[in-house]
Amino acid sequence: MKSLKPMAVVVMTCLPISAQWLHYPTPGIPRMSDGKPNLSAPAPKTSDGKPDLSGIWVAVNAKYLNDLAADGINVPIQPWAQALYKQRKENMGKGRPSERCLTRGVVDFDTIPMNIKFIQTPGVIAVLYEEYNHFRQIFLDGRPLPKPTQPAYMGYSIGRFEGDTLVVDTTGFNDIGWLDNNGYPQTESLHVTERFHRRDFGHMDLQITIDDSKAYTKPWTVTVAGFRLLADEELIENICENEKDFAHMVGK
Amino acid sequence: MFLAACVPAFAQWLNYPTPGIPRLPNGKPNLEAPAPKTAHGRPDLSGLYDIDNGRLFQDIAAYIRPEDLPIQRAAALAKQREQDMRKDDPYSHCLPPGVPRINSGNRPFKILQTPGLIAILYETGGPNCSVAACTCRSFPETSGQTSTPPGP
Repeated sequence: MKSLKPMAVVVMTCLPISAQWLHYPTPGIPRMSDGKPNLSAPAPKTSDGKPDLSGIWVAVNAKYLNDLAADGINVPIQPWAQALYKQRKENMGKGRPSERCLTRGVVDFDTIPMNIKFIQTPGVIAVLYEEYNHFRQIFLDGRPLPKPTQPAYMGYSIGRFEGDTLVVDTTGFNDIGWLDNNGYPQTESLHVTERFHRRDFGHMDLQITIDDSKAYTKPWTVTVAGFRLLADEELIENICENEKDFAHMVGK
Repeated sequence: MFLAACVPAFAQWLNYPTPGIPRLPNGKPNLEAPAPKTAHGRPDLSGLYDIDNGRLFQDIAAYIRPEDLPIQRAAALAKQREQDMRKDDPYSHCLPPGVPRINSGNRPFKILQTPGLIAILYETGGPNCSVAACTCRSFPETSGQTSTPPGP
């Protein structure tokens, strides 16, 4: 329970005011006879037959945000990275970038139960993150991954469809981000592959592969909690104001 | 000092030719070509835009004569802020500028237009100025009295 304390404090202090906006029924949602969204309806397709991931989503739980290896997999971690991970975990996650209002990266944004919105167009998917009002772009127009010149928290993402699965490759990360709240480290060699599968209208599965040869001896893959659709909801403003959470972090 | 701290690195990513841009014979974008339309015949605002200068970001009334500015009680506050060299500007505390000010900063922003929604992705620093943090804004696209069809 002790290890959960920093997270609990941050979640409480970051909690935005709910019901900020009009409760407006989301257009285009299949509904049951009582008007409630039918989240078990078939996943929608775009006009060109591709899966349409558009919508507001939230991670099902925080299990993998706190520990990306929560299922007990044997993470093939390098000795130096293991030492750093141990130090971060023993310090209850104190020192992670988000405590200072810095953004998360792709992986911990995929696992935090904060609302995200996918806006899918033929050439690009924009992902709007409610937390910190950040965004990310996933380019679908066939461009290659660039050679990174300025490592970044979110990196650079390109995607393609393999059947009904959107496969997203991201490189160009910095070595500042953490993969989870416990503190699995990353280096600038990190290559993340995400496989999004919208299994029905209201549920999306996600598998993440971490390939970072400077921190891990081989790629490792985690099937995380995935997302559920938030129908009839909208994103709200969420600003991490001037590191106000930082004073509440309680590391050793 | 503040501006220097907030300016992110340029040329961060691949200089990739934007698909669908009308081009001149030499391959350069033809920015004088007709404005594009969506499949529904509406103006398509999609694209990555920049602003020629940030003058209005500093002073939204820069092009209005002082005697024509309909400002009342807030005039003294505006003057005080100017005298203080805007030290209490939310932007100087890494808080995002709101609308309309964010549309006058000289940082790029991207408009992503879909049938039911326009998202504007602002590159300008907001939650934290030490990275190219951004502020996202999305709102329903509207046109006249009729509602637009839902998204794809």
